[in-house]
This record gives sequence, structure tokens and C-alpha cells, in this order.
Amino acid sequence: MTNIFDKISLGYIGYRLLWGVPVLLAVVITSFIVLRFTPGGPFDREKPLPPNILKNLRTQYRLDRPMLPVYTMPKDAREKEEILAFEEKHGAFAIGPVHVSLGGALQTQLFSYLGQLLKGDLGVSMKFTQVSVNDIIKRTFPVSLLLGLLAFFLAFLIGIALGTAAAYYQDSWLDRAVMLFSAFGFSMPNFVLAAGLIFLFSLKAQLLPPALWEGPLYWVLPVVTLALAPASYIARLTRSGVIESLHEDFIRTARAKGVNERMILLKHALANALGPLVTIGGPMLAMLVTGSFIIELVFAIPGMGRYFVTAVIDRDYPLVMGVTVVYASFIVIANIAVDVLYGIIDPRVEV
Amino acid sequence: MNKVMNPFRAHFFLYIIFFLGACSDSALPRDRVLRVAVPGQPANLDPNKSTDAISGMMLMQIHEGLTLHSHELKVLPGLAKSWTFNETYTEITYHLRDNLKWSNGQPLTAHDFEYGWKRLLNPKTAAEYAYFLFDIQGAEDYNAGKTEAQSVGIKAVDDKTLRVKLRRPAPYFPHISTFMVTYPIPKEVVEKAGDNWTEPENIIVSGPFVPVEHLHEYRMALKPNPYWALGKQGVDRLEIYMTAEKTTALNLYVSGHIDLVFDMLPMAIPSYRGDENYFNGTKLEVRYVGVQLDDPAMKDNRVRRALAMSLKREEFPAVLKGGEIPSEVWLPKGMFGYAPGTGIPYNPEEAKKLLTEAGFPDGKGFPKITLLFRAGDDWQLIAQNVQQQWKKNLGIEIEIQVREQKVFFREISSDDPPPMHLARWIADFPDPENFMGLFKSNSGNNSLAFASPAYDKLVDDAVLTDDPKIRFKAYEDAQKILVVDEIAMIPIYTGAQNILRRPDLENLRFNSMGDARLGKVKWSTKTTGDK
Repeated sequence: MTNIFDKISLGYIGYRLLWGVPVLLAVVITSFIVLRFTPGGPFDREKPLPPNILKNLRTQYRLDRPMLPVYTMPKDAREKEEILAFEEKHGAFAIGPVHVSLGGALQTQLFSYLGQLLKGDLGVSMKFTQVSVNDIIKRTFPVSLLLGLLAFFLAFLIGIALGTAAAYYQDSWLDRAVMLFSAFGFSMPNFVLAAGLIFLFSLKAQLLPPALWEGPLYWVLPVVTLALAPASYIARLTRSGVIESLHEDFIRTARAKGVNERMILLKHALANALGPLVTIGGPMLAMLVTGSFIIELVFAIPGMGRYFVTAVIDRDYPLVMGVTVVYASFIVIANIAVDVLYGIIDPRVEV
Repeated sequence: MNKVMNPFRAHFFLYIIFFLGACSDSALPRDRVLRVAVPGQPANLDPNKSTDAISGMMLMQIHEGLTLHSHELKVLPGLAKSWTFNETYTEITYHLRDNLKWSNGQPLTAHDFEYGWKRLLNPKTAAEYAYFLFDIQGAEDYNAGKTEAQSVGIKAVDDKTLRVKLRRPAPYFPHISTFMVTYPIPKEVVEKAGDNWTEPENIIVSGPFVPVEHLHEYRMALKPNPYWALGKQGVDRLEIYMTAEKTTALNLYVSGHIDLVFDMLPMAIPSYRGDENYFNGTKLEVRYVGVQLDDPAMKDNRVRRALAMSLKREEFPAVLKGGEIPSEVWLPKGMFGYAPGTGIPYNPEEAKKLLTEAGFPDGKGFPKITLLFRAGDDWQLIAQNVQQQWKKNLGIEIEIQVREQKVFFREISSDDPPPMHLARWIADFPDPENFMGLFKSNSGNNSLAFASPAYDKLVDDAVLTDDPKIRFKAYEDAQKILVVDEIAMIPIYTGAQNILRRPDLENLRFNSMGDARLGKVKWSTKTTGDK
């Protein structure tokens, strides 16, 4: 086997990373605009804020500026007043109903956000009003990452083991049991599974804590809950891959040469089935790290997942953008990692 | 292969045992620690900038105001030992206790209040609750950026005296100085640490507990403040867990990880009824159907009356199961001015007659009007119940529409609001002024197009009198205009709070503002808390 480092060219990775930049930029700009056009804003409250207080807040969060350098005059009298003040300062000209402010372009919400982003500053949350989004992500992302990685490895461990066993003993009771488990695990919603496990292991058997994030004992239930669905999927994928390769000619050759069964199964048949697993590995990791919203809520885990939902409900613009940027970057990187891994396991792929 | 695996396995298990040992609880005995759950994360622990109930609940354990509320919502001395009004209730002077200190031992003076209150009003602070002090002379103009801080009527006359000039008579003002946004603010710390001044490494406090650890989104741990002016703390450590999911808080309570849950899972309430762990109390919250008076379908007084008459309020607690109190009046139970029996009673026969008179016999020809509500299980249940009752009692079909909450808030305060919506009001301070003032014609929160000079006058005059009988009558008459004569809104019920707490906790009282002061809470010595 050749040294794997010979196979990976740093140039290729650099090239892929470079391509990630426009992808991220597109994601950022699209989300930014869609978010601002979503009805309802961060300061729409059950007890409406007095106009002056609202004005103070809008100034502080730069919502008094136009979103893009090209805009139409708002209907809302208060917003109109703000825009007129902006135009007086930065200049603008009108083409029919459309106003263009070239002088103030860099001051618009979108461009000032992009400028801020270049410096690595994600802004200040509008809901948690003195906390910077960088701090929120710095605190919560490692927790989600740990949770996601643990679930990822557990899912692969269980999935590959069960899938291989099921394939080797195809059509036996073991195979049927694994397939049943897989159907169950795949169709069971997260929160139902969580509730069931908590009931059994925390409230009845009193073996494990029902929630909180204090150490490995506290990791068990959330990780298992999160890992079950991907483990079921991996088990199916592994099973069909291994079954397929067990019927290949090279397996027969290996058996004829007297290679023992364990080596045949692990080295030849399983190695051959790894391709599809690697393909789904990247997106699956991204999904597990960032998509653990319900698990984090149910187990009171201080992770980032919850903000994918709550920040949008709160219209906390900077926080929504912050988690979006992190999520998008993570997916881009995970996909690059998958392609690189491909090259390592499959000699036919150049990277 | 096996030879390689075995020692690895042995190590693996050793690691696990090591880890499990490492995560045992803190070294303090169980009965010196109090662990509570709040339903989510505080939005901001800077008293000036906080707005939500969770921040309020946490700040109450950290800071102390000039005055405070008893469990019966009487105003008691806090850091002020007394206060006096002038004759016209347009000036209030607070006299602070002797030898007040911050938790670092530095003196705490009236200047810390002056600084904090002016900081709240400073437009640069952009505080959402700045309007809380708009009763003070010059406050609103300063907040609008029209004047400077000197023109605001807040003055520390000396270290122990705070004089506040009011722009209108406000006998309820001592209630206002209980509220979190009026807590004293340590100028030096704020100026040195900036926005991070509330973090454990910087903060100094005036209340019972000092934060020592704050894991955001998860837990805050606090230790007693040796300089607390109001007594001795009952425990050596307070832990506040931020559990957004109510089921989780319940599980943690049942499994013994937490001793007090502020917001109990409604589904679990029936199984806890009568249990010594369960506390049910009133809450100063009223839910109602808001009616848009200038909507074509709602213009006819007889239509509104028929709608109000055909809602059996007892059905709402029956579906919600949270111990809510059916109500036909605006002021909630537990507040001065509560006048059950003043509202329009349930009477479906009379309602049908009224609707026939209005030109809709058996509901025929009645337009399909919309009732808007915000997302949430409880709101959904209320909306469906309203819809069913009107269909059953009046034969009319209304459309119920849900909106995500931010969209809902914007739509009901827009220029084109829906004919009806479901709303609530939760007391900011427990005086009728807070509820009644909402529907004055000049109120910024009045989203109903209801404007009645008679109502305004009754509410304005009510605060001018010392005589509780006259005041009660004024509020009763004003409520009649609102819910009986004009029917600008249809009250449904007064809210309730449902709390789980260990029965062997002492000095734990809740008031109907949803407050609990944990400073003196301790474990009973009769039964050792070994849970």
C-alpha cells in the first residue's frame, strides 16, 4: 500500500477550499436577504415598544439603514424618516420609485454585515442583548461537536458491526433481527425515543441521569438517542454492500487461496462496501453536529442546535446568520474531507 | 489480535470508572444547596436591559431594589427603610438603610440608584423598559434624546436620600421601585468591564447571592453575599438551571436533580393535584379576545354582546387543566379592583336573541370573520374552544388563524388588524393602573381602537384618591365601560402558576407576580434533605 500522504495533493485541498468561499458568500447573502424579508422583526413584542425606544434599538442594531444600496421608500412613516436621514447623510438618487444610494453602499445593512464578517465579527445578539454571537458560538459549538462526534462514531460502530453480521448470516434470524432493529430505529422519532429511554433508564431503573451535561455518564442517553437513526441507516447500507461483494469473484478467489473467513469478511468484503458509507459520512456528520436541536432541548444540553430554531423564532438576525455561517462552513469542510477520504480508500479516485 | 485487545479493554473500563467518579456532585452537604429550574435562558442579566420573566426571576436573587413585594404583593422596605410622598403624590423621597454595602464591601448609596435610573433612561442604553420610569419628570424627553440627563427629576440628595419628582400623581410608585430595571447599578464596575460587567468575574451585587459561575444556556451557580442587608441566607449555594423544555425540568425534579421547578408541565398537573410537592397559585395575567371596534363585522354592539354572552368561561380551565380561573372582568383575581360579577354573564338564549336583532337569526348571513392567535398549544386550545362555543351557541362559523408570534405581534398592531385576536396582559406591577392604563386612548399598547373619554377620566382620577372605596368604584365603573358597555374585549380567564417544590423547603413563598425570593429559603431541619 502506498503512503496515503502521497495520494493527497495539498493543491487539491487548497483548490477545494477556495471554491468554498463563493459558496459561503452565496449562502450568507441569500440567508441575509430572505431573513430580512420574513415578516415580523426582532423588536415586535407582546407589549409593543414606545416609538422612541424602538428608534433607539433600531439605531443601535443599524436597522435604520437600507438593507441594500437599491431600495424603495418604506411605507412605514418611522422607517421612512430613518431612510431620509440616511440619504441626507450619504446621498441617493431615484429612478422612478427605486432609490439608489451608491455613496452609502458600504453603510447598508448587507455590506456592513459582510465587512464585519470579514473581520470575523458576527455581531451582537438581538435577543440576548449584550452577548456577542461569537461568544455564543464559541461556547455552544464545542458541546454540539462533542455530542455529534460521539453519536457519529457510535452510529458507525454499531451500524457497521450489525450490517456486516447481518450480511454474513444473510437470511438467518440474526439478519432478520438486525433488519427489524433498523426499520425501528429509522422510523422512530427522536423525541419519542428520548422519552422512552429516559423513562426506562432514568426514572424506572435510575441508572442514568435524565438530562444535564455534567460528564460521561450524562452523555450516554443523548448520544444513544442521536445515534440510533444513523446507525440503522448505516447497518442497511453496510449489509447490502457486504452482501454484494461477498458474491464477487475476488472473494471466491480469496477463499480458494485459503484466506480465513474473518479476513475475507473484514478486509475484502467490508473494505469494498466502505465507499457509500464515506459518501454519506460527511453530510451525516454535519447533520449530527448541527441537527441535534430536539436532543439538546430534551436533555438540557448547552449546545448550538437549539438556536437553529429559537433564533429564527426570535428574529435574532445576527444569531441566525452566525449559526448559518458556522453550519455552512462545516458542511463545506465535511464534503471536502469526504472527497479526500475517497481518494484514500479507492485507488481509482485521484485527489 | 486478542493479546493486543485485552489490555486496551482493561484500560477502557478503568477510564470509564475514573470518569464516573469524577462527576460526582459538589462537596457541600445536600441540605446546604438549593437547585432550581427556570424555563429557559435569561435574555440579559443587566437589570437596566432585561425584559423577560426569566431574567427577572434570576435578578431577584442577585440584586435588591429600594422596595420589594411580599407574597401578598404588599410593598415592603427593601434597601430603602422608608419613603415619603409630598401631598400631591408628585414627589417621592426614599430613605436608604444605614451602612449599605455592595458584595465587595464598598458602600452602596443613593447615587448608585440615581446612576442606574438615569442609565435606564439614557437613549444610548436603548433599554426596552425605559418607559417604566416615564412617570418621572423629564424622563421621556431625555429618553427621546431631546434633553440632557440633568433635566430628569432623579436626585441623590445625599448618600442615603433619593428624591424623585413625578410628572403626574403616582401613589403606586413604590410598586415601580420593586421592579428589576430599578435595581442599583455599580457605576465603577459597569464603566470598567462594559457589557461584561454581569459576568461572575466582574459583578458586584446588592442582593442575597453573588454569581460565581455562569455557564450560559445551562446553569448559574451562586454563593451568599456576606453584605446582604436583609438577613442571612438559608443555603450556601444556589444553582439555577436553564431548562427550556418543561418535560426535562419535570424529569430532573422526579429524579432528584432539582428542588424547585417554576413552570410546570401542564400535562403533568392532573397527576400532581393534592400532592405535597405541587403548588398552584393565581397569576396576575388575563387572557382575552381583543375586538377591533371599527371592523365592519364588529361595529354592531349587539353582535359583540352576543359573542361575549355565548362563551362559557368554565370550559377553558377544563381544556387547559392549569388551574386557571374563569373570568368575565378585566382586572385579575389577586389585584385590587377585582370585581367578579361585573362582567357580562353567560347566557346563550339572550345571545341568540341579540344576534337575531342584529340581523343574523341563527347566525345566518354572519360574515366569516377571523380570530387570529399566536403559535402555542395553549393558544390553539383556546382558539378552538372559542370557535366551537360560538358555533354551538350562535350558529356562526368563524375562521381561526395561527401566526408565528413575531408575525402575530406585528399584524395586530398594524394599520389593518384582524377583526378579533387572542391576547393576554401580564402585570408589570400589581396595581390596577397597570391593567387599566393599557386601554386609555393615549396608551401605546392599546391595539383595539377603543377610545373612551369617560374611561380615561375614571382611570386618571382613580390614582388621585387615597380612599380605597372611591378608587374601587372608579375601576369598577371603568371596567363596565370596557367589558359591558363598549365590549372592546372579552375576558376569558385569569392565569395560574403551577410550581413543583420539595415539601421540606422553608421560607419559600410565591406571589401572584410569579416572584419567589430565594434568599432565606432553607431546608427544614426536621427531615434531612437526602434526595
